[in-house]
Amino acid sequence: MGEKIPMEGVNVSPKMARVSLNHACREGSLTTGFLHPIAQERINMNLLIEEEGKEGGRILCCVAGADGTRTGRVIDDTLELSERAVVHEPVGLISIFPLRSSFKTVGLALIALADAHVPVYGFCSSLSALTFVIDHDHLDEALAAFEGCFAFPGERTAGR
Amino acid sequence: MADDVETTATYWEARIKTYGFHRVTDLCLFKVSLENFEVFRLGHPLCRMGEEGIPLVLTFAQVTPQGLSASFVVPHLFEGSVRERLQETVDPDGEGVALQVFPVEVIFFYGPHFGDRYGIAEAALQSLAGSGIHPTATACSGSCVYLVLPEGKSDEAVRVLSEAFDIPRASAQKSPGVKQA
Repeated sequence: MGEKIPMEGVNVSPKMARVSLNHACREGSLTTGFLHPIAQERINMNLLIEEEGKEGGRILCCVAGADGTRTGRVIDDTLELSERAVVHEPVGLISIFPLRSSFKTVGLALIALADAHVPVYGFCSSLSALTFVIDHDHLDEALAAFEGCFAFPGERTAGR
Repeated sequence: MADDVETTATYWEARIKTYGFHRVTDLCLFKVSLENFEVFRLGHPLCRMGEEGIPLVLTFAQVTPQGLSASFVVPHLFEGSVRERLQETVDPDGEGVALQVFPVEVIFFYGPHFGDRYGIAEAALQSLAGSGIHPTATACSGSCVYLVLPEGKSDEAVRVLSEAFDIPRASAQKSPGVKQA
């Protein structure tokens, strides 16, 4: 292992619920079919990845653990979606804050998680953060794995 | 009076404020499909691309019934290098099944309390859908919303979004290679 890459910080989330959804319809139907009722229920999504492809749409989103049941109910009430949506609990989000976005950071993080046998259900970059969706029970292992390749300053923020 | 009364405060605006829409053009979206046993192999070509100085605009991934679908948005200038590196890992026979490339543009925006409010992505996608614009992908984590659009669509999308959202007059400093509405 080479020199550790400096990070501005790391954050781990409390227990969350992960919603996976596949939808055969295309072109915006996910917005009305899923995002609109979620917004009407005032449910905040801490992470959202939505993709359109030849086979239809696919969504991964994470909501607070306390909102998992309500999110499931919204999906169940939207009959079109219910057959293809699954709510998984509990998951956790671990976010690292690189000094700048880089392929190397993503690569090292994936290698570290693979070496620690931590399954990854999704990841997403943002302006200042790179966030991974993993099992909540694996957050400690993931943190230890990241500490092997990234240098974090001072105290980390733990939301658990 | 009930003992368990809880007051919840939520930041809300009739018209959602943003700090402006940032538009990045001349990009490529690489979509990589990996089976479960292959996911661990992805890290090495990504590290190599990082060491070669290939810039990363955006990445997102989600599980699929088969494994993982990972996407990487990079400047068009680096399409050849990225294709080569990813092909070595996920598509060594060049069949193109596991690796797809699309010309895209990206809009990203953020605003007050975006990280802990509901309905922002929905408001953006709803307004775009009303104008017949359908993003290829949407990715939000933290307080920033990214919209990946087919090539040539970002200009119109910014116009539509600017009507739906409130943008303060004072514009922020432009980042290199990033246009701000």
